[in-house]
Amino acid sequence: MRLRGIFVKELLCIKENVAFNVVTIISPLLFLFAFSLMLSGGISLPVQVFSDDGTSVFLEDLLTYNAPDGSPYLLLTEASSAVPPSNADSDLIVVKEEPRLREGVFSGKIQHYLNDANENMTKNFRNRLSGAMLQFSAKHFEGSNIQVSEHTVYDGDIAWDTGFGVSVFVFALVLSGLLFGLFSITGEWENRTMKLLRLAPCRPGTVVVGKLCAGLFKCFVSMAIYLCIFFLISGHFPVQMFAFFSLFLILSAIFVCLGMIIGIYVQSTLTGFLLSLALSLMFWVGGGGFGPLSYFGEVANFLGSLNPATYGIDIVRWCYFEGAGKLVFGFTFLFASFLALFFAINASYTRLVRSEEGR
Amino acid sequence: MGLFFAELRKLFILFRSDPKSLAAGIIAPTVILIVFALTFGDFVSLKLAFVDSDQGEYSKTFEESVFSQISPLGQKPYFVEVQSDYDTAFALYEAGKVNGVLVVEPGFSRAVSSGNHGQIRYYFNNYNSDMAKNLRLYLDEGIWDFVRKINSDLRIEVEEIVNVDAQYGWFDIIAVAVFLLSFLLGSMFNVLYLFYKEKNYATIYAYRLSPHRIWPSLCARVLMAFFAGIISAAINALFIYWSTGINLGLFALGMIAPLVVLGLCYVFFAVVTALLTDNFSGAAVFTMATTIILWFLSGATASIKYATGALRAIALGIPNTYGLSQMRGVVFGMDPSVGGILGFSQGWMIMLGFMVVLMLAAFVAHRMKLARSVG
Repeated sequence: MRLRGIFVKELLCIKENVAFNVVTIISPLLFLFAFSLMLSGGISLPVQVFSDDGTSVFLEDLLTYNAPDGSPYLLLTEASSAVPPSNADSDLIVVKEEPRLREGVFSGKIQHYLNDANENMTKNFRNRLSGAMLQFSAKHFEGSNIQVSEHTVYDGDIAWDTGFGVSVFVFALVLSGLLFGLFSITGEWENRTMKLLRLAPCRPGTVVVGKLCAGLFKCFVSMAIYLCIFFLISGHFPVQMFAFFSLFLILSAIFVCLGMIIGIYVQSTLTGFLLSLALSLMFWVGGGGFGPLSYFGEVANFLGSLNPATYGIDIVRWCYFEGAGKLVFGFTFLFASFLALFFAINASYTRLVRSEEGR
Repeated sequence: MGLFFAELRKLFILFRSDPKSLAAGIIAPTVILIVFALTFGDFVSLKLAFVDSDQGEYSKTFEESVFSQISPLGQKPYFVEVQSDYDTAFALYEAGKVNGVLVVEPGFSRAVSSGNHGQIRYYFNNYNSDMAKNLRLYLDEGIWDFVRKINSDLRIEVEEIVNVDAQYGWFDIIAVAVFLLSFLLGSMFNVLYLFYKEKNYATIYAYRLSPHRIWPSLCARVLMAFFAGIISAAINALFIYWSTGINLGLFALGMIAPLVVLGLCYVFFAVVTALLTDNFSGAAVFTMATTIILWFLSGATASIKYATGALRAIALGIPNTYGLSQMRGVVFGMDPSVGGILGFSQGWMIMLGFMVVLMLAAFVAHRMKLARSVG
């Protein structure tokens, strides 16, 4: 009965600070919209092309230069002349001498105008041009070459924006958990009801469990909204529902507990809110939110191995795309983390309400 | 003038007594800076386990070709080799310690020397299409080098012509955008927080009783907001100097004009939001979300000249796009127009247009909410 009372009270507290509660829905959606929009172009890059000869087999072949899923690496637009492009344009590829067999030698000359101050764009265009020339030579030049047989983790490449949206789900879960856990404690400080909790004739564990359950319920509502919107945008839904729901429960519980611990020490909603925002971003990026941790150094990998979000991202990707996933180890680590944090919040809260100084 | 200074003094005392609003201007952009520093600031070479089941002359040449290609981004090799036997390579791959495994099949050198195609197997994590693209194209760089080495009659020449004054790391370019964001958020949160404090102390209602004009109060708020914005931006500039070595202080003079105009746009926006909403949290969340999303869309991470369709139209309609472009122009000596799409003067027209509209909105909201009501 007391548990239900605490649960209902926590839900009613949403009215006290609707805006901060809405953040748990808005922030991940902002990430999703901003990045979905930015990544919607996929891996295709616009490039200008020009051939001194008018027609070019190389440029015609460039039209069929695609990734295995059919996405073009380059989107060609014909330049009117071979003059250096203006700052408004992308890079320019000029075929000065069509690559073909001349007196037993397969030769040609291509000019590449690098037109961006960003080194990353130079890398992108150079990679694509090298790949295009390799494809062209494999097709038209009768010499030795290399055949690559690909073995990938997933049957097809995961679309950039879809993969990102799935990863943002974990960010949403971390942020929701932290904020709902935090608000359940800072609300008591700011409403000066902590004194009532100290006087309450019920076990501290009951209060903690009640707040945890309410936090889980609020996380469920936030995540349901996120999942629906993500489904409308991408058309993707988890295929492994049981694992997905289990992950949701355990990851939410971990971060609700962590949020409550922060709430005990920070006490201010605004400071706690900013701290939670920063922490959730760090957990998410440090857990491989932007890409696998193998791209980072040893320290990042070590920290990642201690981060629940790392396992959350791994498992949620498996729930959506299957492929490879360390499910048993991931769930074991998450469950152990939950037990540790639940014990920590229980101990901290009990100490707070039972300590002599608090009375 | 006396009223202006009195108001400024009051706001300064309020700010000094509770500088919490500064935290928003510092924490959010710093987190973004750290996130981007981690992801775009230090590109490491991808780790590839190389298993040579051929052990021939050409497999050695191929190995050298794959691991000697240098990326223009950071001047590091695309791939770094992890020497291992077959089983260890796959154990590392399974554990996520390497990005891929390259297996040269037996008979590779024999096939190549007899003019046929050598066979390799490439295992990698196609985690997302961008990573998969990189892993494929980086390998293509190595294969292309190898194919040219072994075929003396393959002579396609590629001449790279750098058509810009200089090139910079990706993170350096993003860092200038983060500096702008810290200034905007620092200024806006100051406006929001001071209004909130005054609402909390119920002193905001005193304006309606005042026989004086309220405009000096608005001007003082704007000036105070700029003061907070400068503190936030300066702290962020220190982080930027520490992480990139770029001393933005040296370019402060050149960046003042776009910073002031954009700052005014966003401060007036914050004034309108603060006056029209009763809830500080709601106003803070709304302004922070709007500012960050507009910041992303205005070419904060990459030039908008690669954007197409709606994204490009949105980017061209945001004032930050132009201010940011001009700030980058000052810091990096780049063309200050927006990727050349719209000229320098058109950019200024758009920024000033936004500023005037938002200023009028702020004046109207200020008058509606705080001016003395008669009758």
